[in-house]
Amino acid sequence: MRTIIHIALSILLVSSCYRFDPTEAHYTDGPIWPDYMDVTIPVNIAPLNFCYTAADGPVPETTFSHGDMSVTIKGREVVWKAKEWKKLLEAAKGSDIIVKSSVLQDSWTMHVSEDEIDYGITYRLIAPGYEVFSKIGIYERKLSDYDERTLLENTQFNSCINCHTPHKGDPDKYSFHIRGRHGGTLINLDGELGVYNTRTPETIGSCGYTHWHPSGDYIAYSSNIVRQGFHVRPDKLIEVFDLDSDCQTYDIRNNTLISAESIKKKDVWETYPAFSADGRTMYFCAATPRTIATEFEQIRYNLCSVDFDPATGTIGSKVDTVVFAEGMGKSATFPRPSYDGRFLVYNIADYGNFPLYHKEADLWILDLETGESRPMSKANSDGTESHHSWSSNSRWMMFSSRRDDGLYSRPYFTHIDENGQESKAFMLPQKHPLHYYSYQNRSHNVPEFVTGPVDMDGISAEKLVTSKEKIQFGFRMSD
Amino acid sequence: MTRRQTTISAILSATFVLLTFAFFNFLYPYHIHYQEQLQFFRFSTDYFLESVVVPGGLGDWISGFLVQFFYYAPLGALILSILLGLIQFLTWKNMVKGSYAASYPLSFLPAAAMFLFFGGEENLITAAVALVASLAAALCLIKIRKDRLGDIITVALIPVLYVMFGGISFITPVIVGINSAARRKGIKGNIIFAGAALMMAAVTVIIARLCAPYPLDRLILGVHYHRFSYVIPLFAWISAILVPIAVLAAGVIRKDKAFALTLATVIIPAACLIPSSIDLDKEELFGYDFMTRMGQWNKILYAADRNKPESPIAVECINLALAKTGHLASDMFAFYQNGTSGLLPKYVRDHFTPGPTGTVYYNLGMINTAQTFFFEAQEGIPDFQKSARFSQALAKTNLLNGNHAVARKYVNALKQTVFYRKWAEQTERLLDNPALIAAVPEYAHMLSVRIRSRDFLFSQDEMDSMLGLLYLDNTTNTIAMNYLLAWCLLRKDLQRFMECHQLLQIGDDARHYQEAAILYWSLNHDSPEGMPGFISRQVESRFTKFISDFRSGKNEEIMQKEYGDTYWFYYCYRSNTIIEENDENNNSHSS
Repeated sequence: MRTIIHIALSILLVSSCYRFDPTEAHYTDGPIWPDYMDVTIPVNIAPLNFCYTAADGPVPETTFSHGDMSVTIKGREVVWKAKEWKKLLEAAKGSDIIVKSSVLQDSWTMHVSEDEIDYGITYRLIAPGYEVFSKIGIYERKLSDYDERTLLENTQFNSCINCHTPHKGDPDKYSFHIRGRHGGTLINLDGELGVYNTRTPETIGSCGYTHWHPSGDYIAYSSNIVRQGFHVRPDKLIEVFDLDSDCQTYDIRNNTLISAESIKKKDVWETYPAFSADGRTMYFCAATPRTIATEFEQIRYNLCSVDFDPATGTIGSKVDTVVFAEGMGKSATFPRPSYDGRFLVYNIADYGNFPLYHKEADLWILDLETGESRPMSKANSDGTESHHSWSSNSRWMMFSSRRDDGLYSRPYFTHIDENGQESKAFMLPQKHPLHYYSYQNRSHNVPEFVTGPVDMDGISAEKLVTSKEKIQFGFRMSD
Repeated sequence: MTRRQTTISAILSATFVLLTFAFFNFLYPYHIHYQEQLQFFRFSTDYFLESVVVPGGLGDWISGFLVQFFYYAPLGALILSILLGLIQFLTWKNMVKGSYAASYPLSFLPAAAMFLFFGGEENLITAAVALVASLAAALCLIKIRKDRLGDIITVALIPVLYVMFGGISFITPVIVGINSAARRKGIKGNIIFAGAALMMAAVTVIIARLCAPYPLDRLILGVHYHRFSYVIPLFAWISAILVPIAVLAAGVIRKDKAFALTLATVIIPAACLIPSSIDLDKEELFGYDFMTRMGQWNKILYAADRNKPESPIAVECINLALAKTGHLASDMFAFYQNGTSGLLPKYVRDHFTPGPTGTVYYNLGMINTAQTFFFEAQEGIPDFQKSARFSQALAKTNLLNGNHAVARKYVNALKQTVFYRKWAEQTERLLDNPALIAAVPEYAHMLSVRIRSRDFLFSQDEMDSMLGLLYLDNTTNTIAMNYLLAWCLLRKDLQRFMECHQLLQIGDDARHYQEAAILYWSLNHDSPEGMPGFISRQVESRFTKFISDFRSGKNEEIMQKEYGDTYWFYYCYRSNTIIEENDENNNSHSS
């Protein structure tokens, strides 16, 4: 009996102790992982713990210094004490922290920006798969520490949850969709959560990609008939494409979807709508329909815009082409204007409208004053970059990147200064990053900034989702 | 009990355990493997914490620990029989002190119900672990001599047991209450205990509802007692409820002479319910899946020869076994064929059928398609578990696709298991030194037969084109070639068959190809003159006889007896609706 107890206790102990193992992952050829060398970081970010990738050799001593302040951490995994980290960042605000390692020849810096980052982020954790979904949830993560909070999980109702989109990071105002058996869209308006049926006889399907109007009175939605195709070549897996798509805007006060001929053309696929910072323009992406089976590699989207009048909800009739990506042999998707109205960041890929499965997908920035557009080279990588989101002060951009292993999306952050210049991107910090990311078998999908703790009552949401009564969206064409 | 009664009881218990072991080991082994492949137990902090934060999570973790041994069916059968034996033994031990020997058979009631529960492939042994733990806890609690202290500890343990083992643990205070009531004088103490226990149970469930993201019914009925969240694990609960009933009944039975009667009350209903609780058709299906997974091709053909299965999944496995052993083109119609759904079935959104189909695509060299199927099979597991089997398969496909970082992720997780660790460590060495990958025969073969230069989107509608391109990319991929021709034959598309046969310049003139060619010739020509030279005299004369018998109106049974192994019989007697249904399904899938 004693032996059995001993074995049982050993199993429990073995399985419940964290041990750092540098051989857990081989994400990089660089000397440290995550790569936090020469990055710009916000003053209120959680400690950027990292590890040395060399499994043998002398145990490193890493010294972080600014002025007369200096902190030395010994070990292959550099784990900060939160208080020391905070103190150093406060002291170095607006300048550099110099990092020296006993095992590396060159030192590096971490620039501490004066621009603060938002309270936290929300994301969906989902296995990066195909059609079937397993456990999916929406989670909130504080950026000043490592706390992750579950907002909603599909263990409550066994459906797919997606596109959690707040209004300018407002934790009390957001929209997200439920797909499957309990399909519907949940919209929280300052604490009042409602569930809606967004499909109308006039639209081609339920609402999809989401972007809020700066006033909070409208939400731009697309409707997409989405399909997946599976490549047979080793370097490509999935193609996600639309068989049809349109854009529209939801008038919250009148519970009505408003569309117009300009964004609902039969011979054009319109998707990814987004409002400008002043709310008077609606950007969207448009492509000429093509036969999927034979021409999927020729489907290319341009970035377009139409006028929008927030007072009347009127959508303009004249479509302007903002970025003619087709001319470059590329496809532009997912426009996200900064909240200060200066820039617009979008995705560029070789073709199609779903950059997540395009290794070549990169972020580009458009200066809305000069009309100049360029790739964000310092933030981009050889892997996929997609799903970007602006912080409420328009100085930080978060995006998901598959640069580490090619499959799992992870949140990365880049600082964007007043001239639109991005900094080298850094990965969402974790207490034990190598262990966390090695064993996290779900992607951080559609990450969005939030300015405070999200107002979400899981039980109420579950009741709403499983209820048969859903508020029906109305529909009208724009004047 | 007298010594004789004790001996008889011990023999009864041992017989029960032995019979259950024999049942699971010899009659139901593939159900055991089925359970193992739908979980991924790992010795790691993350997995442990992930498991135990859910109400009933410790029970689930223990269950996962046990089910990993189901990799070997005899070990699984042993574990299941021990669990059932423990349920019986602990039920007896929980019966009111001084129960007569006649009560002993009643202690088999919960174990018998749990046995019936184990008959369902989606029922999880977490329920049995929870019941054993609850019975053990009750046994300890009723040994506390001071009533009041016992009551307090029992009530205090309700949330603890619930967090560890889920809703079934609520039977612990019930058993303790029955035992206390039997020895306690006066009703007041019993009422207070019952009230306190009920209140504590209610508060526990309310708090669980506020903290755990699960609907109320699952929190009460068990988060991990059944793979499907919407199914009530009926026999598990019957088993649990039968414990207090047996304990109560034991208190009533006073005559030793009733032994035979009480034994009958257990055996008769259990025997009546067994046929409806076990499913030998599924056992056969799981068997074909398991043998396909393990590459036991000859064993599949041996089993198929004996049982002649007709379900698409089984036929799919048989066809793969025929292809792997080089007999598809000569012997496939010796087995029942149900159209293309028995060759390359369309994707079905569940957690079982994509497994064998993925294995077929893997063996064909369609690595991406295999990866899709394996991934979907894993993600489709209804209780959101992962699968060691499919993770291993995904590690392989990612390794072959050159996605080594992703492959390493799966390998890292597999290294935390007992039965997949060795394989994971070997694969890790390949990932550390990719030049060695091509030295592994399986991978070298797969890398040579997979599509490398062309790209197109997978389409079930254009299976023949895809198989053709696969073969053209590497003409040593004879499985792809045989599948292409088999696809045409199963669709009764002789025109396409002949085109492909000629286009691919197939030198292999296997029996079914000759049969198809002569049939095509006879349908399009009036005389045998100019007939393809690869048709042998033997096939020609048999075909002549077949035509003659067919025209003479011999009934199907006789024709099957004489020509059941030929393509001609399939062509003439297997209903076209099979093919039409296949087409419809394929079209609806791709639209």
